[in-house]
Order: sequence, then structure tokens, then C-alpha cells
Amino acid sequence: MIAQIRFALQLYRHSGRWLAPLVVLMVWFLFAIENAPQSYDTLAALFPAFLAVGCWIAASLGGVDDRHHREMTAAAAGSRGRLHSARAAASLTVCMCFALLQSTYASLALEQQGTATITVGLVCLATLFGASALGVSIGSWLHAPLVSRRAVSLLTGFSAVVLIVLFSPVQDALKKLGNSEVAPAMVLAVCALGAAALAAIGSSIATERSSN
Amino acid sequence: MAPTATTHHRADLAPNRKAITVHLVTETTSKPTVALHNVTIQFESTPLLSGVSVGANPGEVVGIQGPNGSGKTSLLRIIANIASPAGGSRIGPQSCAYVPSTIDPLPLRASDWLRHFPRGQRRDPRPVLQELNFDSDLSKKLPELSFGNLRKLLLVEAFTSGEPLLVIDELTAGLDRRGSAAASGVLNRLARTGTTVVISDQENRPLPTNARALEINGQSLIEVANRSFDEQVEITLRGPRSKIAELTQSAGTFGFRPS
Repeated sequence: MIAQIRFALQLYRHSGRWLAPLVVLMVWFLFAIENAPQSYDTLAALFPAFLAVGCWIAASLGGVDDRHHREMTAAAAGSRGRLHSARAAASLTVCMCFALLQSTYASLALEQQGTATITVGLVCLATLFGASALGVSIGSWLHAPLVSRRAVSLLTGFSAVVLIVLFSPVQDALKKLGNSEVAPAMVLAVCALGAAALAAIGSSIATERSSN
Repeated sequence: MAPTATTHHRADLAPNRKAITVHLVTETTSKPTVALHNVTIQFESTPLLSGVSVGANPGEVVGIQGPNGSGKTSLLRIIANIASPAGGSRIGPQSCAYVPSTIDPLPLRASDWLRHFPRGQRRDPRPVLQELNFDSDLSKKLPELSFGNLRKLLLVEAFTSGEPLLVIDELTAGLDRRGSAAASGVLNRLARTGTTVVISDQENRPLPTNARALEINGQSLIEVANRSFDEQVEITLRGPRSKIAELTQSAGTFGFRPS
């Protein structure tokens, strides 16, 4: 599995498809720290960004090669479902690298009154991990062999991310996080992880059973 | 097909001009590396193959031939465990080395692709690349390779993968006569070390000399004589009459017909 993840990351690195989501994330981050100078404010603003970018990365990494090369790699992995899981894990790894960078910056360079730096860092990581995992699990449904048309993938991914962000419990949790209430954000992160795990397992099974 | 395994016995003869190695194969009952039971293959609800039961034993080369669109690639994908049959079942290893007829080349250096392709224990690919007459540079990116060299690279990836099962679609696609002969030679050598090889090719292309030939006929798979064996191999045996008679009789069980 680790070799499969490493290979997926190599393919993704050479494809250059990581550049666009990275630029979007950086721009979003700059806007966030400009408009929300405190760590938790920034974090609340970054949740939708990681959700969207996680989805984008998973969809683009999953479809990084053509059908024949994917079959070759699936045979080495043991099945199409295993390859699918490895690529989802690789996508999450990329997101977590971004999350680590931004959490470090948010906890060290920004202020959060009355909270220890380490606590801020851990809250940032947990929340962004939840957002990334949820994004990746959505994106894992949006690439070949399940979806082969990029337009369908783009529209579905965008709609799913917007729906989740507009979902009132999510908005409440993010608002409370902006007001330094951490507990609802942690509940949100746990729920996101649970939903992500279920969605990822589902997409893996669907891939295994797909006829393409 | 009865689950059988093969063991190899070698009898080397040294006639005046060149040495001939005759591989005699005896069958013993054990588990096949991969087996399909009563498999049905459909393409958009049209049945291509039905009731296919086939197995490949350790050390065996199985060649599947048939016309375009007959279901060869679909059958190979099921054998490689990367597609599910419409009916029936597959028993075999989860992972294997699968070589598609072509790939859309990724922007990686050939050496990086080969090095990073996820395998447990890869053998040194350089001697096999040389054997297949790979005449390009491994530092080139995959899109810069000719189709023939790309195919050779894909084959070398499988040949050096260390997997017990190799599944190769269109073995000779993109290879010249010399490349095809070299690839067949490597396959036969791998088979002698216990690797199971399943290949497909067009119906008029020669199979490796030791391959068990199967042909897609309508919706079924039938065992046929390996025609390439008759056409391509000429063996002159010199020695005591009794020894030659013994050898030809044994070799006759594999479709070898002395003239």
C-alpha cells in the first residue's frame, strides 16, 4: 500500500496538476489572514478551502493516468478497489502537507488570545484534517472509472462542496470557532472524518464493481 | 481443466554443430496459479464468451488467440483480477504483472517510472532491456520513446516484477521479429523458474514455442495445437536411435510432430 501511495504521489508530482489547487489554497490563505487576523478566524475561513481543494486533488490524482496504465497499476495493487484506496490516501497525504504548513503558520505567526500555541496547532490540524478527508472522499467518487467526464466531475464536486458549506450545522460550528468556541469544530471534524470514511469505502467498492 | 502443475526435466543433447535443449514436461496434481470457472464475459449486454473454464499451472505459458473483438483482452483482465466477470469465478493471486497493449505515456523518465512502479522485489531490468534490444536511453521521458521501445519497457517491467503470474495483452504488438523472439525467450525462461504466463495475441501471430495454445471460437475457448511450434522450430537430433525415439515420443505429447 505504501509503495502504491508513493507511486501515485510520483505520478501526481510529474503531472503538475497539483499546482493549480496549491495556488488557489495559497490565495485563499492570504485572503483569510488578511480578513481574519486571529488563528481560529483564519481556521474557520480555511475549512471550505480544504474541503474544495481536497475534492479537487482527489479527482485529479485519481485520474492522473489513462485507463491502460491504471489497469497495469491496479494489477500490481491487487485490485481496482485497492488502487482506488491508495490514491485516496495519496490525495489525503498531499492535503495534509498543506494543512501542516498552514496550521504551523496559523499557530506560530498568528495570535489566539488565552490559548497555548500547541493547542491552537492541534485544533487547526484536526479541523483541516476533517475538511481534507471529507473533500478527498467526495473527490474519490469523481474520477475514472466511476466518472470519466471532467465537466460532470467539476459540476458535481462544486455542488457537493457548496452544499456542505451551506449546511447550517457546519456554518454554526465555523461561526462558533471564529468566536473561539472549539468544541463544535471538533465535533464537526469527527463527523467529517466518519462521513469521509464511509464515502471512501463506498467509492472503493463502487470502483471494484464498476464495469469500465 | 484439471488442476495440475508442471515440473521440468531437462535432457541436453550435443550434436555436431549446436547444442539442443529439449524440455520435457510431466504433469503432477497440484494447485494451478490461476483458474477461471464457468466464466461469462459480456460487452454491453452482448455475450462474448460463456462457460469458460481455464487454468494455468506454475511454470506454464498459455497463449490465447482470437480475432479482434472476440474478448481476449476482457478475458485477460479477468485473469489479472482487474475486471469482474458477468458470471463465474476466478481463483488466483490478488496481484500480478499485467501488460496492456499500450499506455498513454506519462511525463516521467523511463528509469523513474521503472524504479517507482510499485513492486515488492524487482529484479535488475538492465540485462532484460538489453536482451529485448531496447535501443533508447532510460533517462528519456516516456513520451519521447518510440512505440516499440515503450512496449519493451512495459514488458521488462512485467518480466522483472518477481510476480508469480504475468498477464500480457498482445505480446508481439510493436515488436519486430527479433524483439518478439527475444520476448518469447525470456517468457520461456521465466516459465522454467515457475512463473505462470498468460498472453494474448492475434490469431495469425506466432506464440512462444512452449505455449499451450487456446483459441476463441464463437463463445468458447478451445485448446488447439501451437501452430508456431510447427512453423518455427526445426530440431535435428543425432544420437542413438533408442534415445531419439524416447525423446520424440515424450515431446509428441506437447504437439511436437517429427517429420
